[in-house]
Amino acid sequence: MMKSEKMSADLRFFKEYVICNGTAPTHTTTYSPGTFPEDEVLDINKWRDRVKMKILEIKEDQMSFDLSGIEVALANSIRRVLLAEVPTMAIEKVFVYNNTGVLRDELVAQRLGLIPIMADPEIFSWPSAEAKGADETTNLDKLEKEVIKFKLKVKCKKPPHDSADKEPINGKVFSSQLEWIPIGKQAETFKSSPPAPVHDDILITRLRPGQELDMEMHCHKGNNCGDRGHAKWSPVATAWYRLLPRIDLVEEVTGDLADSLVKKCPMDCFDIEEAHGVPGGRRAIVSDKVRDCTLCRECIREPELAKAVRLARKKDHFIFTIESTGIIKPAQLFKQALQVLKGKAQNMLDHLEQLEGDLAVQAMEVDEDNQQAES
Amino acid sequence: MDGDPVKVKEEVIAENSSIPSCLLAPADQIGKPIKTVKDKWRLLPAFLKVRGLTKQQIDSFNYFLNVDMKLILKANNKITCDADPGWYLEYKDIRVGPPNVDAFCDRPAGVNEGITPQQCRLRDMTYYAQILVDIEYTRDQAGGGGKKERVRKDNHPIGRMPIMLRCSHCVLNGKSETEMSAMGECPLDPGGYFVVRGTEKVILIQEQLSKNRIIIERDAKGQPSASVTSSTAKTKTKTNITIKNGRFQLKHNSFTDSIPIVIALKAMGLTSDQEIIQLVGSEALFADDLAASLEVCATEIRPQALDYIGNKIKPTKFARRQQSTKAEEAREKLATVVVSHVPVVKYDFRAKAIYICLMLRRIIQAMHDETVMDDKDYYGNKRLELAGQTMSLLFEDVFKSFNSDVQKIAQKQLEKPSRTTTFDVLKYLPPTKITSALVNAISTGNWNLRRFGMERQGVTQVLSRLSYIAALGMITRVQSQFEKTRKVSGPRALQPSQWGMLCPADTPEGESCGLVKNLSLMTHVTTDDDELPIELLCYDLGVEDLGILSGEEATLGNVYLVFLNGLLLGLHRAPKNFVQLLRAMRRRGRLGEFVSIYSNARQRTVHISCDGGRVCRPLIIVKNGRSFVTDQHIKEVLSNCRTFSDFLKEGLIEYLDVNEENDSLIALYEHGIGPKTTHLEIDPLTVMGACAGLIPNPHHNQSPRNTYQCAMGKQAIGAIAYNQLQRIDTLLYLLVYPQRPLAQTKTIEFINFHRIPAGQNATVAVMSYTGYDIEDAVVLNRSAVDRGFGRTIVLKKSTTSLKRYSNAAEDRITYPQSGGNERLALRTANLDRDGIVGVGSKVSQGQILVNKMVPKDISTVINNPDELREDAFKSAPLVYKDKADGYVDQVLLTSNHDEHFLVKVLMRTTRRPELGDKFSSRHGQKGVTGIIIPQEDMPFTEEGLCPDLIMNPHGFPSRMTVGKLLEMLGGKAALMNGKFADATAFASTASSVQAISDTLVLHGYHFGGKELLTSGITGEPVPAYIFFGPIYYQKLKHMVQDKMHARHKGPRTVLTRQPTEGRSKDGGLRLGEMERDCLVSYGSSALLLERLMISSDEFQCHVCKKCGLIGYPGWCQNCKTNLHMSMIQMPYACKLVFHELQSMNIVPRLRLEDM
Repeated sequence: MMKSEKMSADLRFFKEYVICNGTAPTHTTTYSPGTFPEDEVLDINKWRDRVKMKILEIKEDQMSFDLSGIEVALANSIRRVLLAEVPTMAIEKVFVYNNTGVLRDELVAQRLGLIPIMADPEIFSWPSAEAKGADETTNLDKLEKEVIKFKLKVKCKKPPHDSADKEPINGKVFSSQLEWIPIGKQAETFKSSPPAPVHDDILITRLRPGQELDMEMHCHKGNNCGDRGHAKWSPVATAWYRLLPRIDLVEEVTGDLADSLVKKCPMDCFDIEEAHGVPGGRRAIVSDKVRDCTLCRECIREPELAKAVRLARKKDHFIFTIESTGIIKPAQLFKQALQVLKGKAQNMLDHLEQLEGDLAVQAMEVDEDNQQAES
Repeated sequence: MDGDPVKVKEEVIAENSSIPSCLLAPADQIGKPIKTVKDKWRLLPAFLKVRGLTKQQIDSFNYFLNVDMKLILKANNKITCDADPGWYLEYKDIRVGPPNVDAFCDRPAGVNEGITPQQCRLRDMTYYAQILVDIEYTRDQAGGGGKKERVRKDNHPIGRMPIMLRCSHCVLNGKSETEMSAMGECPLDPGGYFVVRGTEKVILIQEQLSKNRIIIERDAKGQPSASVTSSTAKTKTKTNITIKNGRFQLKHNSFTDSIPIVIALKAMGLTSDQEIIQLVGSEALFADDLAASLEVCATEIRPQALDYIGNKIKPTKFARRQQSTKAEEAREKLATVVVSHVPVVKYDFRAKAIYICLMLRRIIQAMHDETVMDDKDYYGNKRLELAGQTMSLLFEDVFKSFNSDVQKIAQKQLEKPSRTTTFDVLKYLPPTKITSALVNAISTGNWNLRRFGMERQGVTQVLSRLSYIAALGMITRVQSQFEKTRKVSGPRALQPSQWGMLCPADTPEGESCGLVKNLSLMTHVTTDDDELPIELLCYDLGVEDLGILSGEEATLGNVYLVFLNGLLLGLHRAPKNFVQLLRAMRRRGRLGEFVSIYSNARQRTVHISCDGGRVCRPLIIVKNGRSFVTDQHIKEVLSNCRTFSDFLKEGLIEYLDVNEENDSLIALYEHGIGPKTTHLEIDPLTVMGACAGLIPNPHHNQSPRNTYQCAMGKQAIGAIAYNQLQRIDTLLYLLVYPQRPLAQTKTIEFINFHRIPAGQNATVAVMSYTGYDIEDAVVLNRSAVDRGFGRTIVLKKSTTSLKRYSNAAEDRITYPQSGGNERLALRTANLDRDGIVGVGSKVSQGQILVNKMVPKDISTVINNPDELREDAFKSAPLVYKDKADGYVDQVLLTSNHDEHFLVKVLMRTTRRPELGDKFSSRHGQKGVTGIIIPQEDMPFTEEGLCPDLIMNPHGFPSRMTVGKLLEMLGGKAALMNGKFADATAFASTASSVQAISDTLVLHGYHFGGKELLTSGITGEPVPAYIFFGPIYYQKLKHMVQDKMHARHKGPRTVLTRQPTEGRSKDGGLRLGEMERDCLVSYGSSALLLERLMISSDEFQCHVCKKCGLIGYPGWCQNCKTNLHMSMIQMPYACKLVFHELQSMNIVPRLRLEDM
């Protein structure tokens, strides 16, 4: 009886944790509900109580937080939406009037596209066919809700003879040199926060004296989703999560071995504790820095320690990090991601409802047919 | 003379004794640790600074321009004429001027303009310089009366010589980087090639069997034979001595039959059998084997012998001189043709007879001892012919024929009984003969030399500019003369003697495997050196001339024969001292640095070589267990106080050729230096060539993988040169963001690959993901592609030129008047007012780039061609043919050499990697893109890192490319350290792997680089640790966009009416025999009929049922009736065969039946 209880404790551990063995991580999947006897039917209220979120750190363009008690699919969906489906504004069209620099037109255009543009995508609508088809001659006034226009006109010159600086003027073209051209009422709407590149020091290209750039750009709203998407519309540099680490000392590690264990971990996940009655008078304990475990597996490299140390990751505890490109604040990004996700779920529901309705109508029609046939 | 016989004996014993080598060391050296010089490899950049990778080619061409040309001139310096004995033309001197061309239209004629190589490339011109001669000749005096005056004319041009880039006459010679870029030239370009008619041409290094050396090998019958290929300025012949029925025979092309050797020797003036035996060797061994040969011609004396030979001379097409008898003729042949490199002065055959006896001696030795047989594949027996030698052969031939032309002209002119004008030969010199011969030869690669009846094809090749490495590899390429088709392994195998001279990895796969090789990093190829001073020095050092000795002394006793370039100089009684002395003199700089001295204890010979084409390499000299190069020297190199030549001058380093290497004991590392060691390698990485030098950790790879990478590195897209955007090449692939590899080798820095890289450091996960990565396919991250991974610029050139016709009509470019024609308006939409596309405009398939018009009439003379009307021209536009849209990158308007107006349009497309594009790491592991997946689907690490590229782990077990694993590991550690990782060949050891692992652990990574990844699709951790890190990936030139092809209907060939073949001709996809067999065996007859006839060349024809011949619709011309005609379908090819057979008087008749 004792033995079976132990097994079920182990099994329960497998349910909740990924075991990070020396050779390969095991029990990586989330077991589907019903695998374990204590599994309950999904109850939204209980689920709501279980979900916890704790912000660990929040900076200008980076945020990390704990998200626990949720399913891996949900966490991953949030991550995926952050990477691909939250829209931003980015330069989509470049009209080159003159480019005598070494960097060819397409390449300048590609580089321009990747510059994060500080403009609230919420205000703008998705580009219409008209905006997509717009060229440099199009009157954009109607499209002020869809297009942001920039201009880049730079000419590189030799430095004046008397200047100490030998570098040519405008030898480097930075993102700060993009000039916003308001369309229609944009000048008023964006008075407080005119659209501009997030960073001023992004090098676009280099020029030599005599070379010049003259181009006009249209920004469109877009996302990094599907074949139409592009990485330039991704609102994040990256967004990811990792599972909460857990280290257990299943066997007691004492004496010199304990010292070596502590020394081994580059993240200081272990500590020494004075203990009586054990060899060497000290034993290893898991320190409070477990969170930092990078899974370098140095602690389980030696067979002697591999028996004693168990590395694990909690399956429903996600340490999320969002690195924003700077356009949208990371916290705002998370909110928007949830909104997109909600919209997707609603969309799904709508479709299901419609399907249900269709089925009902079909059923009615079949009934009518049958009745007619009978009569 | 230090010919103390007793002492010599001791030395010889010491040489052959089996005393353990450690006992021979000086007592004070034993047991002392050998201090190692730390950065010995620093010598390598110093070497490359002086010599460079293409220095052999340039040196060789310099030798040709500065020395060899003058020698050729000297040998052919006078032209005389039978018609007027008083007339002559004598060349006094020859030189080559600076590269220039005739001035163009707006300058006065005869004025020359200097040119730069880049101008030549762009304008399709030849980069050449005038050949100037100083001549002295006679001409009729102005006053007449048959009086002659002697005229001296200096610097008279006789033609132009294509100039090798960076040679002594090149404008780039000795220029600084700034000066070069001002000329539009890339300072890192290796040079060593020619620019001919706008294309860059390389004269490949040719590998040949060495000339003028005795080679003992087995003949067809398996018996030993000796052969000598003699080569002098005048002749090239091959002489063989073979064994037939136990008797020795002399074989030569100019004799109808083989000649008993004794007869030949007697004809050369040896009188008695005793003399012959003494010269061959008076040991019983030699006498016994010679007996049979001596018996055959026991009674012959010299006149008889000459008569015998005279009767066997092959008749030549040239008429025989009447005055000479057969004996005289035979004597002449023996003197000039047989073993022709041994000089015969005034018919003194002594030296030649001794030489032939020596050949005999070697054969007899080989009969008894297999091991003295020579190995043809031994690299000491090979000579490399470089551009200079190749050009020199051609130039001499052309110059001779130029002279004979001049002579013919003079003959013709002077023969005229009454001349109206005075004959001034200068006016008659063929002006373009030399120029066009040289330019044509280089441009076609056909080396046709009348003198030697040589007709070689493919001597030159177009320099591949696909990547910097491709160009470098091409210039260091060595081509073997061996036939590609023959399936013998010997010449293809890697010879141990190639160590350090030729790269063991860099050879193509397939038919030319092992025949095309590449030079190693430090290889140098010698040029000819003057023999005379060496010869004199040898005599001074105690060499005794054989002419004053009987044969006995040469073969008996501990006496060594001394050879200079294969010619017997004499004998020496203290050879070891002699060799030491000579080497000491070379190290002091009293002899040329490339003179090789080596002794052969078995043959008891000392060979001295100073001929051109030997491969050699520098080595550190070691004496008494100490390397001459110390830390102090390296420090001086580092502080630029010491150059490589200083090392040579001070005798710390010397060049050894393959033969001398074989006479030395070379330590690979300092800890391997023993008491007998003579030399030390500079660095083992030098055994690899430039291409193999790119591979990180090649010593951890399975060797064929390195070979594959050598082939693939040449296909990698990247940067090409600093001037890549100024070049207008037919096809140019450029990488948008090339990166310097994280895992670097020293070679990469030496050859400047890090400045002109071809590849990108991709973050790679080695895992199976999505299943689209089987069979070596790779999975790409779409966001990485969006951000510029593998982005490529493709530049394609289209050219057109405007010709001027004999009737004064000219091609012209006009702006077309579409006149409401919409299609034409669309096609010409991008044209500027001048009728040429504007730079920057987007061009689609079928649109016109240059609207060229060609006059319809080019025969009737037109007075004012400018006034020709529009309708006198027909359109001949330059059309953009690519399927993908392109942008006009550059338009060049210039004139070429023939003053034709030239328009070059460079079209540019930018490509992002797509499905099916080929990628490869630097370990011979290529793969195509299997799928491009979005970043959110990509797995990610604990740090949030996504791979750019996923590679399937099945690529590893069978390929065993451990170097790749180490590259990834080292690269990862390099990222942490912020320093480039060193992955030089033979440098990294177990300890450096340990260091890498320690670094990784220190930064919280697994020591083996394996990380926990989370699947981007499920969000769950991947149930395996994934090997994750940066690997340098190359994008190869094979891209789907250039290859994809399909057609529904399209062009057909004229003859057979079947669909055309090939993508370029929009051809069909062939259903071949094997595919046909499948359909036949399946029994699908309708499909067969459809594929082979209906969709191909179906033809309806009318056949007469009566006669079975093909006729008109409803009329049989054969039967003259309309009664029996019926229409049938057949392939047009079938109809064609019938008609072809009919034309050969074979009548195929069709028998028709109603079904």
